[in-house]
Amino acid sequence: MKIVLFSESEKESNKEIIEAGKKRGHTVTFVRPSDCSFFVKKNTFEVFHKNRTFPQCDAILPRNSFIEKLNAHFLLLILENVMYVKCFNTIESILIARDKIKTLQILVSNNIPILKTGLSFSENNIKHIIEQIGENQQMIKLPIGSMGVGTILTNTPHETHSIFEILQQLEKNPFIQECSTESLGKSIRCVVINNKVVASVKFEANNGDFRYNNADGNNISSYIPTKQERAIAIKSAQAIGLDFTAVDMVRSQSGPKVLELNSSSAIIRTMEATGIDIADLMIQHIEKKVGKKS
Amino acid sequence: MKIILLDEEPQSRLIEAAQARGHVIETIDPSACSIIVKDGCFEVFYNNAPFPQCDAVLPRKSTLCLKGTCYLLPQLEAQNVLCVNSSQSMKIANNKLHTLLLLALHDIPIPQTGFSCAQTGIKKIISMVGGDKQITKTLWGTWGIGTILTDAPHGTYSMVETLQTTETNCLIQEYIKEFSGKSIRYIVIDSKIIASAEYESIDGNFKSNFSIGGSVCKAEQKKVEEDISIKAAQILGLAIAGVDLVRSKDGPKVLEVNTCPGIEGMELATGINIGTAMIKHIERIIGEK
Repeated sequence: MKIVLFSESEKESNKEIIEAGKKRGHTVTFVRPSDCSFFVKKNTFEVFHKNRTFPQCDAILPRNSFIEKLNAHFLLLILENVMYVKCFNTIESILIARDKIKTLQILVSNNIPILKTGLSFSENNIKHIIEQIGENQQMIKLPIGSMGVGTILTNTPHETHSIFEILQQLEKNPFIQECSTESLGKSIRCVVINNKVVASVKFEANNGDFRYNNADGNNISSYIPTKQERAIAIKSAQAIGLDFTAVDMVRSQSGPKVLELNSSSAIIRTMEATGIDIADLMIQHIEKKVGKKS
Repeated sequence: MKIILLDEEPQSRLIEAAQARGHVIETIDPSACSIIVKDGCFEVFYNNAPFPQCDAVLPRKSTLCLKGTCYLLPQLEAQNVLCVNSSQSMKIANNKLHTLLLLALHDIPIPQTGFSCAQTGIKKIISMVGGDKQITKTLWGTWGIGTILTDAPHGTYSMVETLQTTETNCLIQEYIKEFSGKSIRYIVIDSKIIASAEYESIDGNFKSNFSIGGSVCKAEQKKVEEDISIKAAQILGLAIAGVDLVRSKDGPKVLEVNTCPGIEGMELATGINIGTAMIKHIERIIGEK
């Protein structure tokens, strides 16, 4: 099978997936979205990579968030509809997962537990949503961002208000969430592939940071999720429509709450902590869906 | 029936049309809304009070699907509020590239169009589009803003490259010389043609938008254009649409589809009450419920 890994970055996780694909006898090509273009004349479509015809392939693995910024999801739309190439995950699900607010909206509609959340579109409503969320400590988050960037912990309503206002003026679409103090700096992650939880870890910030996923260090260890946590993780993946995902949750007094779903999460540390070959499982899933062994 | 217009300013034509048919109509500024989730339930607020009960919401601002307010319509829909047009259809129609791709996938004629995700492919796309002059267009934009006429290849190249460095990408399109400064708009409501008009710039501009001073007059309706317009609205899922097309030497080609077509100029030119047609459409859907 011919697989294209579609990403701007050659980070370790991507290398791992490429290796896993090769090990199972597939050809895996690395394609940068920024090298791509397309042309439409009447109802014929041509897609290019480095100004040559886009490589023939059976499956595409889009693996980063630049895709929307570069408008490369339109290229995938053409490949899916005209060349019948399957994307894992689908573009639609990637675009939802990339936006935390959209994700939360869909989760709530599917009765999946999330933290109290408030969203305002102008400065006149900020005070009201802060009051509605209640409590002194609150989280301000941005809909787009990974590795904990775009998450702010505030200690008083005034602090929340002033930070929220600035982010709103910058048109960053901030939102407020309750801060479950008992789980600050901690979270659990369930890796879901094809509606099964295949690996789970827990994160703990090691330097007093309130973010469990800060880039400069956290402790990660294998974790056995409860039946409820598994069920929530699977239901979340289904609601967003992701083939592979890492579902992040906090354990609050009133049960687990979903924070976000990652459509192309880093997998190396989870693989190391659990001993489970996630990359291989991803490739196996693609084989099953595309119906080609090699 | 109670209808809510989501717009920054009240639109008198629509308000008159709704009131004349005995409905209550209220204008709500989308940016004065907020959303709270608590105990697994969503609640939408307007000016910090619960969002008013209503039978239908008429989003009348195309930018509703951009910026922060893009989260508002899907939320109202999740709470079973009828939105005409739907958030999904508005989102697609607001992106010119997404619109054109979907139309082309369904065999609707569009101008030759190319797109390069970044710098690598620009040159090749320019040569494929061809011609001495080309149109470069940002993916968002109304009232003709974001549409630029450039000389190929160097003018187009420098324009696209410059815009890309400001994180604004654009599509490159063939320039339809024979219909420059003109466009035809068909208003489609519920898969029926309600009105059509021809727009023409009056000062030699290559853009014909009424809002920037274009003139408007009743257009001769052509069956092939009507069929294309109805199909385009259906493909995008728009109950209310303004389909803009040009008459090229190879036949009509769709330029873009408007989700909140301005009605005033059109009503003046055609004498057709488009606002009433919109309200009647909502009555029909509510009646079917």
